[in-house]
Amino acid sequence: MSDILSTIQKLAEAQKNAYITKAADEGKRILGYMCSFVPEEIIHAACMVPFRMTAVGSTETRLGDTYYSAINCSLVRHIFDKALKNEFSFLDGIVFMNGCDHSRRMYDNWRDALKTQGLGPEFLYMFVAPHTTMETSLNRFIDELNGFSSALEKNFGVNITKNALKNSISIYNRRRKLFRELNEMRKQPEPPISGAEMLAVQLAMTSIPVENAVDLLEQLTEHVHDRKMDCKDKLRIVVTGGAMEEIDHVKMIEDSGAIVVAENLCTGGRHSDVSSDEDGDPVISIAERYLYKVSCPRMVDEFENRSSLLEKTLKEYSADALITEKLMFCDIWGGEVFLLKQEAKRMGFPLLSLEREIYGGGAGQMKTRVQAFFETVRNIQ
Amino acid sequence: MISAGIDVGTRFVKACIVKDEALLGCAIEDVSRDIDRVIGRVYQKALDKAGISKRHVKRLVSTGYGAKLVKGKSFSMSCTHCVAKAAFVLDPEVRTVLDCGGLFITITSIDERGVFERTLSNDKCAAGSGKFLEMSAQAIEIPFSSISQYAERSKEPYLVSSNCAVFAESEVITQVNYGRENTDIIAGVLKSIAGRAATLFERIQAQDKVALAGGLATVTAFSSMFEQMTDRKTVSLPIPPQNLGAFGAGLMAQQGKPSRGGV
Repeated sequence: MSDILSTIQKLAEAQKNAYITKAADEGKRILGYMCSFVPEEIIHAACMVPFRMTAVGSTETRLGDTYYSAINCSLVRHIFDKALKNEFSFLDGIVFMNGCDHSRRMYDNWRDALKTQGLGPEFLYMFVAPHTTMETSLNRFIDELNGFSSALEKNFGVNITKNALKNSISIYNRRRKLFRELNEMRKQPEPPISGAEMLAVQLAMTSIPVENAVDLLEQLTEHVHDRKMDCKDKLRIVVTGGAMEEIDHVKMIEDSGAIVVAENLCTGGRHSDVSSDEDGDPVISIAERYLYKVSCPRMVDEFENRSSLLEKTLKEYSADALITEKLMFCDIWGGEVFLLKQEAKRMGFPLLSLEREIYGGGAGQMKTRVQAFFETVRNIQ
Repeated sequence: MISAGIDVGTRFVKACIVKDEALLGCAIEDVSRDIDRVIGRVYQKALDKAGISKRHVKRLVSTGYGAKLVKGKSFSMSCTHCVAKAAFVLDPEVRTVLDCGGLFITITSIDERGVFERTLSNDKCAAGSGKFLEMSAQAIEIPFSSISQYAERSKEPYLVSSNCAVFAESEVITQVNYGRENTDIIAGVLKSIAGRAATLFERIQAQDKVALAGGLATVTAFSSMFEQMTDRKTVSLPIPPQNLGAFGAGLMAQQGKPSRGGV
């Protein structure tokens, strides 16, 4: 593995990294979040560093389970377990979101733990994003963005100016453009980067300051430009689903005779390749980008758009099959996978639906299912 | 008064013969399909050990998952109450009892008078139970009695993270196929069960002293992992931990009015 890819892999597998430590040492505040709908630009414009909280490094949910039950999302339980072990003590605040009921309830649990156990940080903010894309929702979302900005200004004594927001939009768009360029290269018959490597890239880039992310992505793009993965007799797969951090899981899929050419994951491609409009009012641009352009199953009445986007992706990336990845007890993705199965029949593309717990093991079973699916796909071909 | 307690658990049937607060005799046998005969046999064995004839037993309380299967002049009580009662009688300083049985982990808190306060149980799943440990030990060909010795030799316990016993068993088999040491697998299974027990322990905000009951309490590696995770010491009680439920049932039976004939 090259130096740059190995650096990125290490970043993806580390709970806290040197970039975050350096930013904190320079006096920057670090704000944790968990959902693609939390507007990183606003946090950045407040001179803070948005940090995507993950379950990386977690090995158990012993303490998390004191607040959650075993029928809650394993990702949320792992993250809260880490929180209760003070592994997020470097954060200056957390932004929760109504992405799903499991994660939104972490706001209540964290507040309780703050009250009863002194679990920091003290700045806990509930960001509420609408579930529909009507005009009233946009106005509601703009109000929410303004409310969030005011809360940051009031609590941390900062001033979020329009210029700062425009600069933040610009640098985040730069990061997104670099992601788009990488993804564009994956359309080639021999993509320059594997799906497992790409997941590591996406995980790493949300755990470091955006300036460093842009720098690393530029180096990576240059490095992989002439690289070609060995794709002989390999199926081209698109992976779609909720949160995924397990690089080994994607590696297992690829080792079974495939290459993952595109993904639409919470922790992956979903929010990385859609830019905000750089002209006009920055708050409206951010609101329109997040509400209209980033669709995940939490948004109601949007399935048709998501389905046509998926169909386009399958065609553009010359994909042979789709794998859906759902975490156990995820109702949102449970409904989406049901609808996708119908779409798969309608459009005639092979679909494998996998369900797992985050870092939940069971690699043997998964591998058997993936191998059997690939055999079926090859027989169809 | 002489009383009897029968605990029909998910893995074993236990019987104790009690006089006042003293244990006269006890017996234990595996649950099998012909449960009536097993219950009758275990009861008779306990009577024989106590040197008591059936007609001298004036009250009988049944407890456990299959309490209703005990026929005759008995009445049934919840196992958590019985185990808590037994632990308190054996050591009046006990405030928390963790009962780790075949399918359930139950934690009970009691006050300084021995009055039952609160109880919590594991989720509807066998992954944190004795049966799961038994299944895993069988899959890697370790006798149940040697689990602790194997677990103590583990250098790097494998993390069994699945929430479901069925998935977890497959996970164990996968690890066997990957060539992982059986010492690491069994230590991982124990760690996962101890973790679940520790979660309940944290959730109930357990007070000292803490007593362990149930078949898992006989596995020393489990007790030490649990103590390590919770940073507490558990007390050892003078009777086998598996018999606490039946002994408690016998003690509960002491509190009622004696029956005229035997039971």
